[in-house]
Amino acid sequence: MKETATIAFRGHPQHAPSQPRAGLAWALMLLFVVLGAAFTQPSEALAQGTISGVITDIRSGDPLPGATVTIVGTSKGATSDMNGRYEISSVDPGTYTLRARFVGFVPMDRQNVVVTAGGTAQADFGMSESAIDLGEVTVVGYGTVRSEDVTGSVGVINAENISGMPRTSVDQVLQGQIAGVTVQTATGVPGGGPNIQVRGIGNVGAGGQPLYVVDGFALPQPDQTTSNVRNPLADIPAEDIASISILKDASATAIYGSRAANGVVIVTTKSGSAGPRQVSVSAYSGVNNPIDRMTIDAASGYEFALFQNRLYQGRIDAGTTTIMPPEYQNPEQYIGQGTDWWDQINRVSNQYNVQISTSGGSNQVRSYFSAGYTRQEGQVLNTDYNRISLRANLEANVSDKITAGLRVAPVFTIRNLGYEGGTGRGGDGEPGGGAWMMCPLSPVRFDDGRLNPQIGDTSDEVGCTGVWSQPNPVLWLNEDVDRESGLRALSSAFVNYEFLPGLELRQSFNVDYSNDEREQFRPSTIGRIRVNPPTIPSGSFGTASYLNWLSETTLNLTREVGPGRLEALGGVTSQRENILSSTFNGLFPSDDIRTLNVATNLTGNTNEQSWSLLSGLARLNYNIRDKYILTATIRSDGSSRFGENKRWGTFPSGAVAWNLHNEKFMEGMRSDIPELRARLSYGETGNNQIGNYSQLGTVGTGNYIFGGSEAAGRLLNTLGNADLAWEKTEEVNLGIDAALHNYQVRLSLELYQRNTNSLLLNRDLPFLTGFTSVTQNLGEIRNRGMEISLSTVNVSREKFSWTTDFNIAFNRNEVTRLPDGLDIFYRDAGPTAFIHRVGLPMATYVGYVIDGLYESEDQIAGMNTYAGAVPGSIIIRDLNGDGQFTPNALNPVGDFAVLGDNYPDFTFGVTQSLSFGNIDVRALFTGSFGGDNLRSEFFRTSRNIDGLFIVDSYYVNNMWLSPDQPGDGVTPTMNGGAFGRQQYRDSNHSLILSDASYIWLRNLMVRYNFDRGALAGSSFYISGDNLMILTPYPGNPDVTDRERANVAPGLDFGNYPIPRSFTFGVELNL
Amino acid sequence: MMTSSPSKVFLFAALFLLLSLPARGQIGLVGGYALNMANEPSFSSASSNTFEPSGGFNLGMFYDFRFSLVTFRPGIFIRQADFDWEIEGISEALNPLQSSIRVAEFPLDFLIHFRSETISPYVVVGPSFSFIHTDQPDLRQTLDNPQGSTSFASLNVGAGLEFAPKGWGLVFFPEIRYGYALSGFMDEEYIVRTVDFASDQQRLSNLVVRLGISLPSF
Repeated sequence: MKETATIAFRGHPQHAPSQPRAGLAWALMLLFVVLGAAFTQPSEALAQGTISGVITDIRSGDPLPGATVTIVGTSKGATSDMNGRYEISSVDPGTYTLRARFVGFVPMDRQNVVVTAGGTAQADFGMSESAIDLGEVTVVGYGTVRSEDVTGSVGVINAENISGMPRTSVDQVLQGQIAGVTVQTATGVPGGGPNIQVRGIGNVGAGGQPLYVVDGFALPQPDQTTSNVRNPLADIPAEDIASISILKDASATAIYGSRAANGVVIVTTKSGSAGPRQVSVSAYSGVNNPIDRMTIDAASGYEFALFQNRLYQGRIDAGTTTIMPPEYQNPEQYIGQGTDWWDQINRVSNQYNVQISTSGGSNQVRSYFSAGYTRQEGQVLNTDYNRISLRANLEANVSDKITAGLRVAPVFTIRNLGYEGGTGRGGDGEPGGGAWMMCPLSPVRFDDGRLNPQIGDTSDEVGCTGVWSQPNPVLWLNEDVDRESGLRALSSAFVNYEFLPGLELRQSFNVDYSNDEREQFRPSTIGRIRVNPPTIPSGSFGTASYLNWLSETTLNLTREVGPGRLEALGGVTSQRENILSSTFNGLFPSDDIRTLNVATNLTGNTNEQSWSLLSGLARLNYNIRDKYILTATIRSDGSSRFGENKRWGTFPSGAVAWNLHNEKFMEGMRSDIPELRARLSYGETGNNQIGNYSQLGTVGTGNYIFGGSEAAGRLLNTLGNADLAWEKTEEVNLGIDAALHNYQVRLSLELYQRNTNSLLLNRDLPFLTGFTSVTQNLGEIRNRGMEISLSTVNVSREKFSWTTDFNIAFNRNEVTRLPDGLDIFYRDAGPTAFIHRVGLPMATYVGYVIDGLYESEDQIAGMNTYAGAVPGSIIIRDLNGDGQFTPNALNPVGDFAVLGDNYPDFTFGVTQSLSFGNIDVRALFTGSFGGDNLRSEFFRTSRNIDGLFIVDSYYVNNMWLSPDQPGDGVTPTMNGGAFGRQQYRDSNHSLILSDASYIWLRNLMVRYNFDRGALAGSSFYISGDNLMILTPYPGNPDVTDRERANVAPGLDFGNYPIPRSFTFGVELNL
Repeated sequence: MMTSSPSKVFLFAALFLLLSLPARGQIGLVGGYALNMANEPSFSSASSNTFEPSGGFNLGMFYDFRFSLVTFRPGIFIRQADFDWEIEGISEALNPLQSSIRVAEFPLDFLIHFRSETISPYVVVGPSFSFIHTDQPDLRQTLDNPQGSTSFASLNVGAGLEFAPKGWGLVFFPEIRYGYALSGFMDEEYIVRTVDFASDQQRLSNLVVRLGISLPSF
């Protein structure tokens, strides 16, 4: 007999290709040609005049250092010094209009400034604060650009948008802030991360998370094929963030090439600035409360006993049993009694955070230091997240030409997972799912105070006849150990050398090192499903370390070329990651000694993987008189992850922006329309989020008979594909930005279309090949949509102001091509059935259509139905009219119809900010309309109508009892044959879908700002999260199974619940 | 790029908005009562299906761009109504089915004011684009299948009276409007609870009485 076993995989680290293809060479040549051309331009003609002046805050009279003044219609400008002074030299004689800008202030024009030969024109500016942040500079890939020069679609969040919102991690900050960026709060697990999508789903076989770039360091993207939901950004305290830029369209993201198809999130941490040293202390403390509606409304003791009574009565009537178990004979005795197991494992928990930072320095050396501690207790017992973080950001002017910097941010975390390993996914066989399925007639503790060890039919303490027994989840969570600890150090160093004016060389080296350990021990006191304790103790210990380094060498050029200003960037980068992990499992003789050296049946494995990426990149930005901005980028990536025939990919983009407000024909309208810009862009990006060795065939062990005896051998487990390449996305974006009424209204409109082709899909192979499928680049998806952002100053008075930020996004997802035009059907345990079909959104829900319930035997006799149907059973529509109710193995779709999808018609976010003197009030609402979720918790939990587990309260109160008591007409009887019951609880059908629209008050904050005395600049606040959710969905409408968020969106297996939080915090600036 | 008519209209609206030079802007809130009415379709089959008219709330916000006597007012509104859905052919014990419907509506209103005084009557006309959703399984199945429609267009007409108390900075306006559905929300052929229906398109129109408040202009 041939035995096959897959060995613990030890991958063979690969090296990036050493021979860049034409794309990289072309990019570099282009760069140097451009640089060369730039230097051949003649120098600026000798200047004839100068403009100078002082820029001040008109309210306080204080100078504004760092403000910019430009001559409208030219590329000339200057930045104010520490005293607010600026000077623009070499100005041709003439009459000009000047424009001053400064972050947080309303831009200001000075017209008719006359420059004479040899003279100095004086033009002072007294600027007034704006309630809207005008975003003077926007962080984009590999640098910054003036906001007015942005040609792509970029959303920005600055530190002031984050302030006062108690957030443990960066991605929570993004919620509802930027049109087209969906942040699904799929789980409330401490330290867990939301699911983030930029402009819809555009992938199948590769990961769907955006690329995160922290201080220029492109972090490794989480492996979506694993169950690890540790938030990749949880290691960055929100207080350390200076700004977040979301690059949405391909022209903005193409500079990140093969990793940018899902968008790019650029996080910039705070830096020191020249000036007196400032010390800030930020601290908050709060409580988290369970939200009732976030979980299943399980049947009470009375309802459960009533359900069981009806169930057994039906069996007695059918003659399959004769005995009504005594505990179900009189359900009324349990009125007002019974255990709510979900309540028992939930608690009111606490969260704390303190962060101390200091920043400041001189013109020579600037620094920012911070230290923080965060503890977030989970809503479920024995779950928490603890983080100690440190950060040192240093920057120094080593000489006139050299600037160097160092950023070091070690973070130590400890997580107690408890709830199914922290994946936040409920289910049977773990305490979260168990609490949903537990018999409510059994107590948590006996009268003598002992914890009831096992709940259900095999328990020898209290019986719930017919109900599968499971461990007491309270005991489980208290005695089980599942702890993860880790040290992560994100570090980077850079040197800038300006070897010619306007030409700067930058070398950076970044290292991300992480070492995680996970310890699990399950003592003998915890039983198993239908197995009473004591059980054999078991445990495991695992380690995982990874080292990721990135070296980048870039050359930046800024120079006047012809009628405009040229900014050019070119560079090469190389990145590599090594991952080494091991896990060992064993059984233990007792609960006393928990080290693996005493374990028996010890098994283990090690895993080693690596990947590398070698890239060349270039970007040109040409600004012609502040009116026309042209941008072109190209990146060529060589990745070890793809087949040797497709190892290199080139990702170009181009964009043009037209600042209409700087045109002469707009001069008379500047008070009404001070800013009007049109943008058009096109770009290509890739997605390399696949496993490290998908292109290779994998080898396992297989024994075979040789010469009459068994011999060890090797066999090919999977087929390789040397042509495996990136999922590639092409995107066109049209944008319009406008500011109206002296910047009191800002409007942005984006229209886009993204075509993702070369989708990674498994293609079935003939049996004669010896393999079932191979991964190939097949299929196309299209996302197209519209995003609108509107920011308004509604009221601006001395003592009262009110601003509104509103964004709304419409996205339509559609599969446009599949291999041979055939549907791809995806089905998993429980009600999870999806289809990829041309013309429909990706991962559309399919299932049976339930046409209500049979009302009588006559109706059953008159219809084509299934065996065992009785009055009250579900009527399944026989769509194909073949007399069978399929799908089955031979007919995978069968009678399944399209039911709906998870994609909302639109999503929106609204932030209302009011200021009454020293008091600020801010409310953040988010909304989603038109998406459906698949209530997969029907499976084994809320709608298991075989009596093996508990059902939800709705079922008991709305089920069919008789033709005169039909309930809601769609909730079936628990009687009848197995087929109908099984399809109701286990299959996708039209009753499992639920409308997941919502309007959600995410955060409400009230803050008091001190404006005088020693506390001037400080504040305190109270804040509430998740205070109100308006939704028809019976649970968390944002739920999704994060592991399969792209291929199976909207699955609700009962995730870790979201709490309602109240927080008190202070921010001291000393 | 976008090909669906709602998207095109949004684009045109945005361009119109950008080109609205001498405008003044005001944000506002509206709340009121909406009577939702589905037309009586003519069925080619013997069965019939009727949505009894249903009242429900109507809430939303808008933004005014005002040019002298003309105002452009885009907005976002939510209507909800609980319909009694009578279906001939299913058990009397189940009739009527309770069908809660939510409609998100994006009106693009144009207001013409007759006077620009403290009290200013106006008429309103404009298209709106609506997205409909429900948790009623039969209705959802009809709407969500590929031939169904979760969006439809309407034409709004109405009249109102703006009242701006001196010194308040606020503008109040009671308004009545009728939204005539231009397209249907139910298939021409569909099945509900094993009963086949073949009818004209079923449309959802509405009559709204509401009070709005324009907040102080900046």
